[in-house]
Amino acid sequence: MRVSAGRLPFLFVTFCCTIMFIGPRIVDAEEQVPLSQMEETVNKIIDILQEGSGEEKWQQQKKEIVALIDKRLNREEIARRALARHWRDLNSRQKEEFSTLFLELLKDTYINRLRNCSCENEARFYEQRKRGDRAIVYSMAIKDKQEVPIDYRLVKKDGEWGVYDIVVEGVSLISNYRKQFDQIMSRDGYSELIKRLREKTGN
Amino acid sequence: MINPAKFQAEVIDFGPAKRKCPSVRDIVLFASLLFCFIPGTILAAEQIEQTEFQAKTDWDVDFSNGEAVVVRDPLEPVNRIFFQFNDKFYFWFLKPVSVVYGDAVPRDFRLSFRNCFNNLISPVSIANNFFQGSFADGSLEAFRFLINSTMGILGLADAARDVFGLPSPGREDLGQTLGYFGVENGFYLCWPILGPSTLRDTVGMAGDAFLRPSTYLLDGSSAGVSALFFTGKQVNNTSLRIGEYEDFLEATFDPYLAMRDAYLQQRSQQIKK
Repeated sequence: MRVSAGRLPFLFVTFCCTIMFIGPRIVDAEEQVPLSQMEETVNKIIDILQEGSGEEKWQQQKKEIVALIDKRLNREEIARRALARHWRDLNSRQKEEFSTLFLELLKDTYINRLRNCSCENEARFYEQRKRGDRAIVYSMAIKDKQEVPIDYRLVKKDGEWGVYDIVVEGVSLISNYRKQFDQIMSRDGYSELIKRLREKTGN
Repeated sequence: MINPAKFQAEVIDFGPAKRKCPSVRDIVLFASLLFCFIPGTILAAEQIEQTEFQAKTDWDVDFSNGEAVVVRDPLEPVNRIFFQFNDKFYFWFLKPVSVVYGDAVPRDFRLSFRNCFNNLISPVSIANNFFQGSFADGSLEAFRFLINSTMGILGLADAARDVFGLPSPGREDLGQTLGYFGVENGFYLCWPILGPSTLRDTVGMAGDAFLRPSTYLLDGSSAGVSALFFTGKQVNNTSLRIGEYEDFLEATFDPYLAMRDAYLQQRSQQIKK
């Protein structure tokens, strides 16, 4: 394509405008990543829950929700934080075993709770704070017209943001488990912890 | 005294760089050096990992959410008994009654009653907002109380929220005010029926009684009427939350410990706000 010299300023202005308008949007989209991803996932879960009821339908819904959640969780970080100082004492097989069982318990708990309070659920995501590879996404779940603040804490690993803690009304779920696990590990050791996790998850 | 000649001779004697093949002595020396360093390196690595974890936890604390809330629990054995009592109270009394009540009364009515009970304790929140110097929130709570008590018909409807778009800025109580002024929790308490608390929050609860309209409305009436009021409130609100306590029990390993931690985390967060 031949461009006459007279049209160059026009092209230049167009180019600048494009950069000015589109550039920040691309950056914005990137900036908003943990928040927009969480919002998308939670809204999808709400949609799935509204599809219908019934035991058979529920099993199907549960599978879909688990698949959605799996993508957004940072498995290792959750397990590591829940065990804190005891994490280092485990070998890699034990770490894997604990992570699998604990994540299963968390997902079961979360999904059962969703089922029990599926009436007029709504979530508003309104803010995120980032510092390096860490972020907190703030949201408000609305249940029975009452607002329940839910914060998601995320960490970026290999370019992907993953949740490592959920804070509901100021209560950190992982911190709550940490205290319970610490007691079991200090008193009865790892085998007892695994035994009780298996009891809870029915494995 | 060190003999310089002897010292030098020893240094020369140890010079391994001049030899092409390492002698047995060199290997032993190298091995012992290695053994000196390895545990040190492992320890250092562990220490780094620990500091790293510490740093991340600090970041979390920095970003709020009462982590590392430690409160003494010297009365744990007694508290655990009361916790068990509350557990039985829920399953044997509160839950069956609430389920029957919930079946009889439509959900919207129960939500309205809950609004009404919430509205009734507004003066506590208004006063404590002012005590803490949050004049904007205090005024907002006062305005909500006024609107909801009149337009909202004794608080049955949350007109301030639904008509004026003014939701509650968050409830304040005397326990939070005391915490705001730096009063520590003291120790943890689990009261029968009333549930988790601390020494500070119990003092707060007693103080708040003077600000609760129900204290004055029920003043002079028999203990039976007061009990009925309190039970009515509990049953109504519980009927809207059936299943939550059961889920909590399902998900926890030591419900007493989990409840204590959740309460302390939540209170610490409320005070920070």
